[in-house]
Amino acid sequence: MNKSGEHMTELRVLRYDPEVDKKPVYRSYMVPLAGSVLGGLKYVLEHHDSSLSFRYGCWGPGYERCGACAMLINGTPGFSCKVAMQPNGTTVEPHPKFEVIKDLTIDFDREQTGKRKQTKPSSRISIDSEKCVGCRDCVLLCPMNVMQMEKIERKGKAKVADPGSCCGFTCKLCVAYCPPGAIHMEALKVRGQK
Amino acid sequence: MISETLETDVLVIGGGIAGIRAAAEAANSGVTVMLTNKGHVGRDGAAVWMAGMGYQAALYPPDSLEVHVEDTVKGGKYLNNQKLVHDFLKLAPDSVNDLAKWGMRFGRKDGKFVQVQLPGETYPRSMCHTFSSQSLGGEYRKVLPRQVMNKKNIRVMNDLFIIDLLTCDDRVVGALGVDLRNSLFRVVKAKYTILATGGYMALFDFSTANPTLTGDGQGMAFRAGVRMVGMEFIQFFPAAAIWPRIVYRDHFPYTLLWRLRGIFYNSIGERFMERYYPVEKDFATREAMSRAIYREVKEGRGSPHGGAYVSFRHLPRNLINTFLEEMKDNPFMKALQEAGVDIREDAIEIGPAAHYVHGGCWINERCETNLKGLYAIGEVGAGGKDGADRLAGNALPFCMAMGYIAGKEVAREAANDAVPEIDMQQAEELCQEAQKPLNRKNGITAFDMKKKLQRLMSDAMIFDRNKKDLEQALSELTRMRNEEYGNLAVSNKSKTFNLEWMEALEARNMLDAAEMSMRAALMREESRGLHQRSDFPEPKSEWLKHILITKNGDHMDFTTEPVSFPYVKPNQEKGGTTK
Ligand SMILES: Cc1cc2nc3c(=O)[nH]c(=O)nc-3n(C[C@H](O)[C@H](O)[C@H](O)COP(=O)(O)OP(=O)(O)OC[C@H]3O[C@@H](n4cnc5c(N)ncnc54)[C@H](O)[C@@H]3O)c2cc1C
Ligand code: SF4
Ligand code: SF4
Ligand code: FES
Repeated sequence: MNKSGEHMTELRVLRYDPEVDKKPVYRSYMVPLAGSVLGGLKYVLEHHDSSLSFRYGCWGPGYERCGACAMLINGTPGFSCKVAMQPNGTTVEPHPKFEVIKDLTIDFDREQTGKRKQTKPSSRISIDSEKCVGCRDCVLLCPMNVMQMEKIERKGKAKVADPGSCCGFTCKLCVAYCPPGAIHMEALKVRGQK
Repeated sequence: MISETLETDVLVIGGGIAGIRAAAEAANSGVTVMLTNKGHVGRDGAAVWMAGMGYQAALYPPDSLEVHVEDTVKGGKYLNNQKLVHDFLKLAPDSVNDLAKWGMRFGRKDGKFVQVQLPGETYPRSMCHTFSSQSLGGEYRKVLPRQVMNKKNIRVMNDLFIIDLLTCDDRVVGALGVDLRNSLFRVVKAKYTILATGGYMALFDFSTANPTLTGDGQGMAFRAGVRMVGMEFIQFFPAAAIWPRIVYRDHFPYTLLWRLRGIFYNSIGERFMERYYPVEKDFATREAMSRAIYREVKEGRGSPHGGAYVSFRHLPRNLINTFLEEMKDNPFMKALQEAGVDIREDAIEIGPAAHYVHGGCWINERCETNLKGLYAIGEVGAGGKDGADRLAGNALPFCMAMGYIAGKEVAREAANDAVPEIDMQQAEELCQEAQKPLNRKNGITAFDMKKKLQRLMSDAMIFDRNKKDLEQALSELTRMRNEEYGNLAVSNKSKTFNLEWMEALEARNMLDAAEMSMRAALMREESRGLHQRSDFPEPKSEWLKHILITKNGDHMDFTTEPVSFPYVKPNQEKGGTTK
């Protein structure tokens, strides 16, 4: 517990500052257990190290998710404003889909090329191509550019092109908005997570 | 210090619904447009990604523009700028068609759009999603960014945080920004500038909106000499979640209270709503509900995290189980479950949260401000259109209409004008001012400053505003401005995505916005709509006027502008002033 009686827990952050660091390093901070991972990062910024960098937008009230705060949380891609701090420690790394600007801040304008870090998605997303009407909505909506269109028998259909980047249950935007309900998401068991 | 000077016909600051609409419209007319945004357009803090409960448009008889205007003005307690209300709402049906054309999936039945009735609407006027249970928010993010991305004559500048407007002989000639990615200063020279930066809900720690909405537009416009209006009116959402922390600021509890009748408790276990509202008890109106919670907190009987408890424990187990089963995919209910909160047993904590502001630039029906070359739209383009209270679902049609009008207007003008000259010395001075916190070794941090401001706003500006509290808060604010602002220090000197510096720049805008809203609240000696003074509990007909604020050296000048009534006359018996 800290001075104001809050339960604290460890947050490990993969830090990388292109101005000084040769390669990324993990640093640990104690942050309140209550609240989201994004809340923990903000706590680090304000109380431990104001050079930490990460993105946020909507900060997740309500249904809508802007996707700004996407990162790897214990290896699983997710929106950090939607994921609770884990009692036995949480590790965060930048989302591997995009180039890193600094620490957890990624450049949504530039996708990573070359070999990427493998992720441990907590869900599997699939499209029923029988049902898909090829409207492209999921492609436009997905903050992580997971979906792509392809031609199947001369008809445009969506396909899950990059399942490893999907933010799963923290997002579910495509599932919620696909007009014919062609997208399904099922939970996967991930080692090291409840 | 300036690393680059860019040139464009039209500069749009802010990539929310209003900014995107304006940029797209201007670009359609062939001029070059630059859209700058704090964050990444489409993945940022624009409020519209979270909106969706309402989009009002009078589409079919017996509904009409006249009735829509009348509803809006009544909701606004007759303080609205009726000319703007009329001219902007006139475009609401066209905007619906444009959105539909862009791919919004509005619900339709028998060849007509489906509309539902929200509070304050004479006829059902709010658009719905094709899936009746789905909000429209996701649809906006699907269709809006597409209007500006990969367009030939629109340059989208993500992460370019605009810090000040540039002026030359009373004309706005562009703006100065910091590229957050490398901390370089950029000057954008523009024939016309459109301000679309949203509100200042972040002046409250507890808000349903994004913490990135820090009143930047209000701050920079005021500093440049724009006349400001409506700063005293701030709308609160009655019931947002405070605890468990993981659902902090979520507005679902309000829906929850609609579906299941909860019971409110204060920290001593009293069902306090009965004391305030013996008839309605725990199911009072939203304003009534939030006011009662606010009083309990102020009098020291709030829940541990500063709200009230809501419990559903009195409900039969099978009833609540059926509800839980139905809601099993709901993100809010899921998060509660994961946090170990079982609403069959445990109460949650809720309270009122800042949701929308009426404060921004005073504009005419072309969205022009008093400074030539500067237009203001959306939430920051206030113009007194919202009056003393806003109807749910009116903000978005206003944003769409204003974006359309301003975009068209500037494109027409820009086609003829030459690119103006920039006063480079002014730009350099503004850079130096912005750099100061970075040059200080130690002092007060932006985080502390923001927290203090939020504390002051919560103490004096939510409900029960009164002279004593407001004066006290203002004197503290003045002290902060005089003694602390000059010591604002950023200890992080990094040149890449320096959040601490960004917050320091935001804090300056928040100081300006807070001072304007407190002073206006102190000046308005009446109670009307969202502005409730415990020392002046009644509305007064002599206060049917807008409070306008302009910068005069280091001071704020206050003037008033009487409201005119070209469309809806106030109800004289009640002094036109139903509370
Ligand atoms: C939770 C919630 C629900 C709502 N629901 C509804 C609803 O159902 N119906 C309705 O009509 N209204 C609703 N509203 C209100 C409505 O969404 C907003 O008023 C509207 O979206 C404002 O749009 P805007 O374009 O003016 O500003 P915003 O959408 O707030 O966009 C402002 C943009 O400017 C950028 N910006 C800010 N400062 C700077 C700077 N210094 N430099 C560069 N860029 C900057 C921001 O990053 C942001 O992208 C809701 C609001 C909230 C918070
Ligand atoms: S939203 Fe659904 S129907 Fe449309 S392309 Fe994607 S999967 Fe197919
Ligand atoms: S849930 Fe859908 S929209 Fe969200 S990241 Fe995964 S694929 Fe993209
Ligand atoms: S900040 Fe928008 S999804 Fe997390």
